[in-house]
Parts: sequence; structure tokens; C-alpha cells
Amino acid sequence: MWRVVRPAAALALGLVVFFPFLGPQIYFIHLLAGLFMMVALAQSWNLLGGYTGYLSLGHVTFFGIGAYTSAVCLNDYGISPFLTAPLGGGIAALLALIIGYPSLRLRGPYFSVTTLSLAFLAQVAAFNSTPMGGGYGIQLPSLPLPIRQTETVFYFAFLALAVVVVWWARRMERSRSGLALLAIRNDEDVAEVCGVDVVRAKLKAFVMSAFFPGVVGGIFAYQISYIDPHSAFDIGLSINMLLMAMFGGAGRWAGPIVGAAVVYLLSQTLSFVIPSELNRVVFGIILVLVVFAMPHGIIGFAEAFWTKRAAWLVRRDR
Amino acid sequence: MNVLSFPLLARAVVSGVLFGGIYAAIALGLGLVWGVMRILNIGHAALAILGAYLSLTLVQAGMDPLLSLLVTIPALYLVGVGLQRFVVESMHGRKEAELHTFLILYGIMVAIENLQVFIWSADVRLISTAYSSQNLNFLGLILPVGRVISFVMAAAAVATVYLFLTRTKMGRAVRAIASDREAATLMGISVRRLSRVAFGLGTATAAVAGLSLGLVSSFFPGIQIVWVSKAFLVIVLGGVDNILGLFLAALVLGMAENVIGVVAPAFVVDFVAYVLLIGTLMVRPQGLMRRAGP
Repeated sequence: MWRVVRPAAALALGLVVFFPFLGPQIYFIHLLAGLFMMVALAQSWNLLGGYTGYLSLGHVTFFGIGAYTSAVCLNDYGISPFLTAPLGGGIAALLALIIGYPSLRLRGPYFSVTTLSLAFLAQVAAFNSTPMGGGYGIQLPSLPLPIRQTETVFYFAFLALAVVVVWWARRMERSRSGLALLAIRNDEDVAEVCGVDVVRAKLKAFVMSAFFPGVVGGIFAYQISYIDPHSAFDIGLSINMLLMAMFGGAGRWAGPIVGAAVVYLLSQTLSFVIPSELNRVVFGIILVLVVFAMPHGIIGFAEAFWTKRAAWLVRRDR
Repeated sequence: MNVLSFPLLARAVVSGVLFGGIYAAIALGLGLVWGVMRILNIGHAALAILGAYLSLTLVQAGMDPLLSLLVTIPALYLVGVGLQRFVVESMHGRKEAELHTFLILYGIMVAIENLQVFIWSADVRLISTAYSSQNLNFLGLILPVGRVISFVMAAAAVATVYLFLTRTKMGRAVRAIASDREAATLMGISVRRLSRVAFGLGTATAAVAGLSLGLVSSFFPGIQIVWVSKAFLVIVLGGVDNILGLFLAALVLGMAENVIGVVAPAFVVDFVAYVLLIGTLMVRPQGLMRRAGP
């Protein structure tokens, strides 16, 4: 399987790097930048939710924190979001550390509801905080460049982020800590008995899984030039992260890439055809069907297919 | 703050308790399903809001709100039975059954919420009748009739479920399933059939909860996520296997929110609720009124 996938992936990456210089319409640059952002976000969610099975429904909290950090830093101190985005990630990671220590002891739905409430709490806080603009939100100056260059800058920023997060996930998957997470997902009690430091492993995954959305949020705020509590802490984004990772294949580094590509491009196309609320209905139904039919996502489905095919080839040649 | 006279405070307390009835009604079904099946139906409040919309449509067609329950209760009972039959049961035997069931219910929640937006729009609604805006004089306290009806309905739902679980043979069997599934099977209880009944009953109470909510508090599809987290808070505070504790916790929460709302800005109320939820989950995930342990 990898004999086909690896050159295809290299080719795709090469195409993507040169794409903005081929003179496409600005819309397509913007579209792909959005896709890279989604890949980075879905992969970040995957770092915790996919590998450990701790489903966070409030990951948008970390995204929003990053967005507000860079907005405040740019407007009040005049520092470019490209410099302060890691700071937003750091604050998000710190919050994850504080929240994670007690809440990762909670299993199953308890953890999910805690993270969901955290997102509401952050939204309520943003609505009522004067330095953060309250319900009016914050208007940011845009990059002092022509629109095509601006879009290209964000295109590469999100591309770089996506590559870094994917690389991180892939590296982690093949490391000792990745094995620890896998053990936790299979049976946490057994993993603990076998000597896996479960608290440490989960915390590490949660912190990294919160850091990246913080960075992404910081760049996103600069890109759209206006944030308010609704857009920065949009529960729909939490849903999308989960959906994309699950759809592609949670717990596999390639899953969120495939999932984000399919779901994002599908939703962009659907939004031309049907009203946006029906769009969401379709995604709810897709999530249900995915869990029913391919609980390991497209990648898991493909792997199973490939294994069967290989077995069939062996049998035929014998 | 000098306006905080005694009658104002008394009124806040009473109307907060009445409002707490809605929390109780929503938490009732959520707790029943959680207690018996060990499943968190995250779409429960979306079903309650669905009940509210169905009642609203029937009321607009000229039906009395209370009569609309004759339609919405059976409808939501069937939804619950269907969820148990087609979702929960088909996940049995999977390695990660709990995780997958939760994800499916989450997807259904998203679908239901947005289907409501499509059918009824995202506008804010309230179920109003000729009498619900009239006032009732109770020991010198002026109370809107709608609030009182809403509370009585919620309390009746809680009482019905409580009596069902404690006084009927079927209810006892359901409780047996909640405490030990395998032992219940060995005692000759049809676990499969009664699980369907329990899930159906749980969602049927969402119909009552929806009407009781719609008479008092304005609603729109997206508000369901707030209600489900509040209901979850009530369960955590009151305990799942203790319906009276749950009822009490709901009334206390309603009262506390209302009293805080009188003395402090509105956002403090939400803040307190979420901090309370996160804090309780972290410190005592088994609930405040339960003994430590699984």
C-alpha cells in the first residue's frame, strides 16, 4: 500500500507548494489555506482524541484563546501575530495542563462534558471581558500587502502549520509515548498495571493537542481580521475537528488529512447547493453513518481492504 | 443593590424554585437513561426542544398546550425506543461500544438541532396561551400562571417516574437492570425489552420537559446544548440513581441561579453554573450526594 501512497503524497506536497505561483484565482488560494487550517486542527484533536479515546468536545477553547491572544497583542502592543501565535499556543497549552490534570481522571462522557463546559465558560468570559472587546469583538488591521500576496502568506503559514502538526503526530505515533497512548486507548487499567505512566502520557498528549490549535487560532485571527466570542469559540468548529478526524481515521496520522480534505471540500461544495443548516444536518448524519459502517475511518477501511486483497493475492499465487 | 428588599428576594426564591422544575424535568430523562443503560444521551435536550417545537406547532394549530402532550409523549417515546433498538443494541459487542454510542448520539444531536433550524428557523420562540401570562396571587407573591403550570407538569413527571420505579413490578425490574445487568438477566428479567422501555420512558419525559421549558423560557434550536449541560450538572449534583436527590438539586440550582441573577449581573449566573459543573466533575465525579466509589 505504501508503495502507492508515499510517492502520491510527495507529489501532492510538491504540487501544493508551487500551487500559488501558478496564478490561480485568489478564491482557490483561500480555499486551500482553509483546508490546511482544518488539517492542522483535526490533527491536533487527533493527538488526544484519536490516540487515547478521550473525546474532547471543547477543543475550540484553545483555538479561541490563540485568536484572542494574537488580537490583543497586535492591537495593544503592535506585535505581529506571526510572532505571538506561539504565545497563544503556550497559553492554550498551559490551560490544558491546569485543566487536564484533574479532568483526565474522568473517563468517557464525563471528560467530554467537562471540555464542552470549558468552551462555554471561555465564551461567556470573552463576552464579558472589556479588554477583549466583549460582544463587539476585536477588529484587527490586515497585512499591509495586496490581497493576492496576503492570501499567499496565510496559505504558506497554514501549510507550514499543517505539515508540522502532521509530522508531530506521525513521530509520536511511532514513538514510545505513542505506544503508551495506544495502550491507554485499549485498556487504561491494564496499561497502568503494566507500568505505563498514564497520567503523564495523557497530559502530554492533551498539552500538545491544545498547543497547536492555539497557534492556528492566532494566525486565523489575523487572516480574517475580525474576531468575536461567537466566531472564536464556535462549538461548530469543535464538531468539525472531531468529525474530520473520525471520518478519516482517528488514531492514525494520515486520518485527519484525508478526513479534513473530504469533509472540508464536501462542505464547501454543499454550501453552494443547500442551505447551511441542512449542511450541518448532513454532517450529523455522516458522523452517525461513519461510526456505524467504518468506525476506523477511511484509512482504517482502506487498510482492511488492502489486507484482504493481499491475503487474496497470496492465496491465488499459491 | 439597595432595592434588595424582602419581597423581591422571596419572589426570586419562589420563581427560581419554579424554574428549577424545568431542570428537574430535563435531568430526569437524562438520568434515567444514564442510570439504566450507562449511556449519556447528549442529544436529550435536543429532543426536549423538539418536544417544545412540536407542542408549539400544535398550539399554533389551536390545541391547548397540555393536550399537545398526548401527541408529543408517544412520539418521543418511540424515538427513544428506536434509539435503543437501532443505535445502542447494534453497538453491543463492539470493543469500544460506549465511545461509539456516544459519538452516534452526538451526531444525532447535531442533525436534530439543525433540522429544527431548517423547519422552524433559528428565531427565538415561546409557547404562549391566553392564560399563561395571567398572574396568580399566592400568599402575597404574584406568580405568572405559566410558571406554575410548568412547575406542576415537571413535578408530575418526576413523581410519575419515581412511582413507576418504586411501586411497580416493571419499575423494580428496571432498577434491577440498573444495579446489575447480568444478575437481572439471571432473575428472568427481559433486559432487552425493558431497556427499550427505559430509554423510551427517558425520552418521553423530554416531551414534558420541552413543554415545561417552552411555557416559561424562550427557546431556539441552539439553546439545547446549554440545557443539556445544565441537566448534566443537576445529575452530577443530585446523583443518577436518586430521583428525589436529583429533583432537590434541580430546585436548588434554579433558586441559586435566580437569586444570583437578582444581586449580580446576568453573566455571573452562567459563570457560576459552568464553574460549578467543571469543579464538581473534577473533585467529585461520582456526584455530591453519592458515596465514594464506582
